[in-house]
Amino acid sequence: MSVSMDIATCQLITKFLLAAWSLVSAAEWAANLALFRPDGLLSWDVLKLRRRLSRPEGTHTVLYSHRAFLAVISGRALAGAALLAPSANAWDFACAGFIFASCLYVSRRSVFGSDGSDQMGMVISLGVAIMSAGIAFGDRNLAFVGVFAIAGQATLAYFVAGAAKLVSPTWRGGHAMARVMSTRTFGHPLAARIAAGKPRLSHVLCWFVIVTEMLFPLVFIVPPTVAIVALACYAIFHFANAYFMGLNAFVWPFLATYPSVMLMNATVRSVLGWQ
Amino acid sequence: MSLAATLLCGFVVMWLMVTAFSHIPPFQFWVSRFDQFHLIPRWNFFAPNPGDKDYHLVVRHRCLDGRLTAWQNVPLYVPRPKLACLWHPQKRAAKVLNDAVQSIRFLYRHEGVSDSGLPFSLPYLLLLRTVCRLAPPADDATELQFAIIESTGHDETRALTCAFLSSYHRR
Repeated sequence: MSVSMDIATCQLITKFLLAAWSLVSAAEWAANLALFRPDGLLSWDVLKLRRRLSRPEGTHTVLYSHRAFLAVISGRALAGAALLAPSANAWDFACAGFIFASCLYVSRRSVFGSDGSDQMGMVISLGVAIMSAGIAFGDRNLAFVGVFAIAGQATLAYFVAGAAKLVSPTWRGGHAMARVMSTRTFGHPLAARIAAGKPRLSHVLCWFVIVTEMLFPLVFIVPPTVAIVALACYAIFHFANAYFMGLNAFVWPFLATYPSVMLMNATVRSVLGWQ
Repeated sequence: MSLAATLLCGFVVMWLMVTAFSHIPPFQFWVSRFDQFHLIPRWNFFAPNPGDKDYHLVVRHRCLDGRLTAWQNVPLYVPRPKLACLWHPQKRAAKVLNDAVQSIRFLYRHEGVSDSGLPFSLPYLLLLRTVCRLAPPADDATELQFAIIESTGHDETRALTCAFLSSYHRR
């Protein structure tokens, strides 16, 4: 990643990673279509009973049927595929905007089952839509708002995740890693054995996660080469989570924040007169 | 700076501020109340309470003569595949069950929903409907009861505890 990256390059890398996430997430939701059928775990026949959905039931029934859900996530996959075009173009805004709308729709429809990758996917799609609009209209400031949105939410994501762990006795006491790894949903047999057999290592790892997540905002002021090394380490953290915890969909949207973070690094250091 | 850039910048600043505040307990309730499209992300991954339990949905039936059948597992999801780091759609069903359990706990602990009120809640109805669909009853079954079982560990000797026991429901 070039230290002197411009907004166009940032938009290009970010949209490729957004495309990857869109394709994976759409395919995974499609594989779970049975959940959304009338007799599924997320049946709209039950979910429509939510208090705030008591009005126009007929419209909702069509809008939130499993067929409509399939249409929306198919649209997300198509929009993701279109974002793979090798240069910025006028369609990028529409595609990213559609992916953003699909994120809101899926959140509204599913109620249960969404995770942090869906949230970061939403953030990235909004950021890419704004960046793409800025590039299309030749408005650099508008494009930079998209960069700011992505970098800002990425900072909050890491810092809040670290702070929330810091206030947790389970994390501070060094037990969290072993406990999570001992589950079949998010754990891994090998990691569970290691964590159980080496409690001191497990304790150190818990604190390592807390400290590194909370130190994320420093990437905006450290020299660019240090920031790149730091982001590479955060990327390894996400790859490890994908392998040991099965959190595969987190990799793409979190990596997609890094070009914006690097651009903000250059901007912040420039404002501070450090480069 | 153009008007569009100024307005969007204002929106993004507000979005970031509300996101930050939404993680502070007194504001959590208000944000979640008005954020129907989940536009405000929740970033407290695996904290303060790490996801340290697996959840399983089980069901049993009461027969015409009052006899109770053995607990039967309701197959909601399959174990994590080897290549889950690349392709892992199974996580959604597991997450739905996990979220439903947390939602039932929240209703109990923080919203003061009683035992008699719980069967009218969304997570309870979703689980009940799923149990009715996926667990074939005995021929003379008249009622069913479901439970959520917590477990931890990877081998077959792992400890199981009952996290929630439903009322009996007529089939």
